[in-house]
Amino acid sequence: MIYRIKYGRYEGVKYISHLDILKLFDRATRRADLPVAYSEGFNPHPKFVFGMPIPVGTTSESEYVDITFTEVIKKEDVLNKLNDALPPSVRILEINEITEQTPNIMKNMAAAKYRIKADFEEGEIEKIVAKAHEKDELVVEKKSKSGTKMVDIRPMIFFAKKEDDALILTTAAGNEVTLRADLAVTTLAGRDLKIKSIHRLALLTKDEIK
Amino acid sequence: MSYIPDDILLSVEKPSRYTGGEWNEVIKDKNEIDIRVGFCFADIYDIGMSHLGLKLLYHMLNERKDTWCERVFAPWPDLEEKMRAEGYKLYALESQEPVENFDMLMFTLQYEMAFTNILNMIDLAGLPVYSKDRTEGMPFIIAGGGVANNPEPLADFVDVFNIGEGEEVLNEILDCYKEWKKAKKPRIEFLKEVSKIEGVYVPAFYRTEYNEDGTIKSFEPTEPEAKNPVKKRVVESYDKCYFPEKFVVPYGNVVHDRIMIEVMRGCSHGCRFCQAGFIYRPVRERSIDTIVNLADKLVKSTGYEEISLLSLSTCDYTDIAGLADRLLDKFEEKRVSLSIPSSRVDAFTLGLAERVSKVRKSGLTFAPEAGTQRMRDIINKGVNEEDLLKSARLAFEGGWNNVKLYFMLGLPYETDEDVLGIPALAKKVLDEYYDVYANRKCRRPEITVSVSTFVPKPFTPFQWCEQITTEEIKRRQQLIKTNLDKRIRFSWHNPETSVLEGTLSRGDRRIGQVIYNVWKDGGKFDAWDEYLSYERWEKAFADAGLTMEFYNQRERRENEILPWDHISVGVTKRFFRCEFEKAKRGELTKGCLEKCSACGMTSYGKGVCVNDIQN
Repeated sequence: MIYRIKYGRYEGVKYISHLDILKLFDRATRRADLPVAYSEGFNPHPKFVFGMPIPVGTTSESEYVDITFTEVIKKEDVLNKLNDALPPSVRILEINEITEQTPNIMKNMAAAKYRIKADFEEGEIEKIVAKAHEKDELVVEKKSKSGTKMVDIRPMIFFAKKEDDALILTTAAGNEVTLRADLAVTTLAGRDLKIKSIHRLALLTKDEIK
Repeated sequence: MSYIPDDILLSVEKPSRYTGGEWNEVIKDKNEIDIRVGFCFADIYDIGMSHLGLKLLYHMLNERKDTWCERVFAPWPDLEEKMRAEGYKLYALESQEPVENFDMLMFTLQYEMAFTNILNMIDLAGLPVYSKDRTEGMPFIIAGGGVANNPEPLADFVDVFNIGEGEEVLNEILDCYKEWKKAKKPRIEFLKEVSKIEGVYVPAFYRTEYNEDGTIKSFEPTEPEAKNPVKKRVVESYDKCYFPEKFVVPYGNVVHDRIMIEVMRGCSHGCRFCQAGFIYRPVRERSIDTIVNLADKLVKSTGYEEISLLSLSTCDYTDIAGLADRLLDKFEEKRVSLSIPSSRVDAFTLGLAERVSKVRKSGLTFAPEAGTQRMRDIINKGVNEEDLLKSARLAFEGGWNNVKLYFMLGLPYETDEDVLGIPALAKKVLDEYYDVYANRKCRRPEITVSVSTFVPKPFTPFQWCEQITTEEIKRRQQLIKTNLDKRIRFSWHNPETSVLEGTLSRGDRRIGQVIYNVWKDGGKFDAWDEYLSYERWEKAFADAGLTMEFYNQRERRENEILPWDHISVGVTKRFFRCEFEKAKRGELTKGCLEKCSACGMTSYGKGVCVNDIQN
């Protein structure tokens, strides 16, 4: 059976890489003595399918992993046993059963919603929110392995609002196109912000974007 | 919260090295303990967290209710630069607090090239690097581990050395410290009191005088408490002595990221170049029951997918096949694999290799050490070509195509013929592969020849020997390279590192000035080729009025006082001399399991010496 597991990764593990998360789940499931299924072949590995990697330094309460088990096991058991076997800065939040036919977690995802804290000046968040809802082009230099290119990130910025001293920002995140939150916020601010924290609140489908 | 702010951490490589919080880390209430210990490893997290000794002593010290032991590693230079620029000090991972006000900083000494890092860490902690400059209220610097057997190069910087096995003596040192702290006595009183403990060496309590030619004239204690010689400690019962039932599990990639269980201590063979083979005598084993029990607890507590059975020569474990079977029966279905670090050529059997690779098939390492029989006899490596080829053949027949051959270059009395024996032997191994697969389809063989440079070490029969120069090392490496079959991979060590190791490992107290000069001149991470500057070391020697040649490029006289003569590891100087003479004649000495060679170790009355292998 396959469970889609939603988990959060907080302060204590925000610097660990995507590969390290995979290793962490491998070891945690062994500590929890859960019957994880393994791939066949020369070098068997546990059947985990992770959602989109998150940039190092970012916390999140909307991470996903699909885990295949060799035997029937109750959701609550997986939740409790895994939480006992994970460091406190990784928490299992929700578990749902899926089938092999269920689309990959990233398949329908279009955006991610972030809470961003930075050295915002008085009134700056309001300005960023206004800027986020303008329509004109927003061209940035994007570095990739093949060199740098100019990209209009406007179509990748969906929504922004102020919440206390933080900025809530929804940007493109999915299989086709993804915009890093730090790049989006510094471009909107038009200056080199000192970012204090970025927290991913949710992954959203096209219909859920607002 | 991390001690180093996020904006700095985000700007350095691998920030997860610096934040702690791993599974099984030990957190205590600092108000409810008496002693705060920083267990320091003078290299980065990735290396330090691969070291079994650190894991063992960390959990052992934390068993004490009165002590909180935390881990301290050297920050990589990208972070160190920022820490120094913004006034951050060396800190411990668990509490994320500076170690400046801890009670003790314990360094484990694993390689000489980390010496400058030790000074750098003490300095980054905000403490004076010289022992004599540290005052009341500052932590004591304690050091132990293999390299501490010649403590003299660090004598000016370290307050207290632990010579030999730490499992028991560290607790005695902490008990002594606690008494001293309670009595609110001056710093010197702790040093006097602690030096009464067997296996403890306080270098400030000894004075060295030198002859005009630079050799040692005398080495005398200056305080009544100071022992001469200082005898290494050996645990009361090896099978029963402490071994952790959990390890801290790192998040990131560290070099050795697996369960490590020490199954045996000491080595019975007595290869003449090998310091570990002598200083860890006598041979003792953990019982199979103890090992299986530990493995069970460690798999449950860590979730690791691999168990490595560690020792100097694991294939010599009395019932290694039985042990491997027991472990495989228990863990195979949990997908936990077994590994053994390296294999002696003669002890290799296909059955064992299959057991080890049952879950995952990895490469095999054989260590013939030298290319000719003449040379192998000189170093007392009691294996022959036939053994190696037979083992290699068995491995190839068993489906392995990945074999690493480990050799040493620059051994005493080595000739070009011996050097050329290395590529010749490797070629025979390659031929064996194609012979096994004659007229059959096969994968390309992956054979690697790894050649390190011989470094003469204290407490070995070769402790008197000269080491060859960097130029000569390069010439001999080239000789191997040009004569090696192109289908075989070749890896070698940096010649300058080897020569520096040879110089430092047999250094006396005056070397302290050299280490200080190098560090002052910006030297650190000398174990990393990209940071090592040989010129800096040459200049530091010159500035201290010393030469590397004196320490490294001369054969020492038989009657010379050696800088480590006041340390006793149990094996006597007389035995080493006798072995040195036998080496010159190419005579073999039998291993402890076959015949006692009266090395002196029987005075401890333990292990193989008294036919009580688990004690």
